[in-house]
Amino acid sequence: MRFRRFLAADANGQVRARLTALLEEHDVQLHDASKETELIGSGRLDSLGLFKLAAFVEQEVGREIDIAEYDLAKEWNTIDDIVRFIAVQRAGG
Amino acid sequence: MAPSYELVRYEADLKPQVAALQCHLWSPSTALNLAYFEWKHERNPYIEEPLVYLARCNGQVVAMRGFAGTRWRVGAGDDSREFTALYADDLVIAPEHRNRGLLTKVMAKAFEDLSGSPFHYAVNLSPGPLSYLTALTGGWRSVGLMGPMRHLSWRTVLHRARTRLGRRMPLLAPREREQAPFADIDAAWATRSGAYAGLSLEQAPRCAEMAALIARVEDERVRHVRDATYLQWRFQNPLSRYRYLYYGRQSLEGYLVLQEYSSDYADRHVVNIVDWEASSLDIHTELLRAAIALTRERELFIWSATLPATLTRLLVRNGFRLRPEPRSATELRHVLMLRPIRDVRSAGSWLFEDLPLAELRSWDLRMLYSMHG
Repeated sequence: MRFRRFLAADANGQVRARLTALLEEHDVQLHDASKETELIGSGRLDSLGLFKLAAFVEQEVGREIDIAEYDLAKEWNTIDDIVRFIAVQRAGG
Repeated sequence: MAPSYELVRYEADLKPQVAALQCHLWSPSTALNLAYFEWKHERNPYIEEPLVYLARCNGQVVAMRGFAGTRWRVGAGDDSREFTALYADDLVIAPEHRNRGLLTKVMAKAFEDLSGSPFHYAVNLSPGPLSYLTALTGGWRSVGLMGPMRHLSWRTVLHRARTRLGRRMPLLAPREREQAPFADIDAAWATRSGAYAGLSLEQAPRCAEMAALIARVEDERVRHVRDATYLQWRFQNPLSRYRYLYYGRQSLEGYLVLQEYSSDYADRHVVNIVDWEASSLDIHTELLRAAIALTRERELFIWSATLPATLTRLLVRNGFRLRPEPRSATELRHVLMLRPIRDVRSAGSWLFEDLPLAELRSWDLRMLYSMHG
């Protein structure tokens, strides 16, 4: 049980690292960002960034996602939210 | 240093800049873009002045989002009610100003300004993948996919291949007269019209007769008001050309409208059935079979999601197939999007007199209502 939790935490850490790299590559300003920094609500993420993020999420989850079913402004608003969203989707959520 | 942007509402002196900006969207011709803008925003029957929002950088218009007026009807007869909604469209950002969050800023400015307007809803039936995603984060809901169905024959495939080859080997290219607007369809009609008793193919809309037929056959779902005023205006869209198949000599008993795009950016192989009405299934059938026969070198499209099941079956029997629905968030889709102008979080904002507008079953949607048609 503890090992499983460790693996999940490690996987989330890797997703977070890849996500941060993607956002930085897209020039999203993260130097002053905290876990709670809003990406969508603050307008940091533009439409192309959102598009790349959608492709990234689908790649991480391993399948296509009907995003119309989700409140993206809430579920993808921070880096933590996105990592959590991916974890839930991977678990079959 | 990052450029600074000024967000403003459209004023008439900015029209030439807007037409030039639209070369990145609609057509390489500023004259055609100008004609389109004037038709859509200045002569729109449902708004008094253009509702267009712009971003300017150093005095130059670099981004825009327009809202055209649309008028929707619910219910039938004396119990019907109507409301005006704004159709969000004409989204364009100059290439050198993309990836800077301008779309979000222009939309925020627009909805802030429109919150004081008498309109309650914004709709969109033609979002691109980027604007679709951005809209979902900005209070819009995806009501449902339009279920585009396609009719594709071996002749279409051959014609496409010939056009492609013709770019390298001009001798194989379709002749110029074959490329003229609707030339193939007019020629097919000239040789086959005798086979279609009761049908005629015309270049002009019979707006009053079409509106009278619609009033006889329409159901109670939310649909665009299709009266003579609307049809007269709608069929003047400079970015589209139309041919009208009519059934009925004494009184109009059915019609089917074929549309192709006029912009040089558009795929000329595509013909859309943008509207299709008839007083019986037999007449629907006659019109559809004639449309297929006349467009045999083209790809024929129609939206099927809100058609009655009898018509969907008729389409399938005549060779139409549902185009696979986009599954990925990053693919282009034909979808109805809706957003209350104010208070998107309130459940009541998504109702029109108790009718759930965020459910596709509430709607009867034709391609004619969108900028696809």
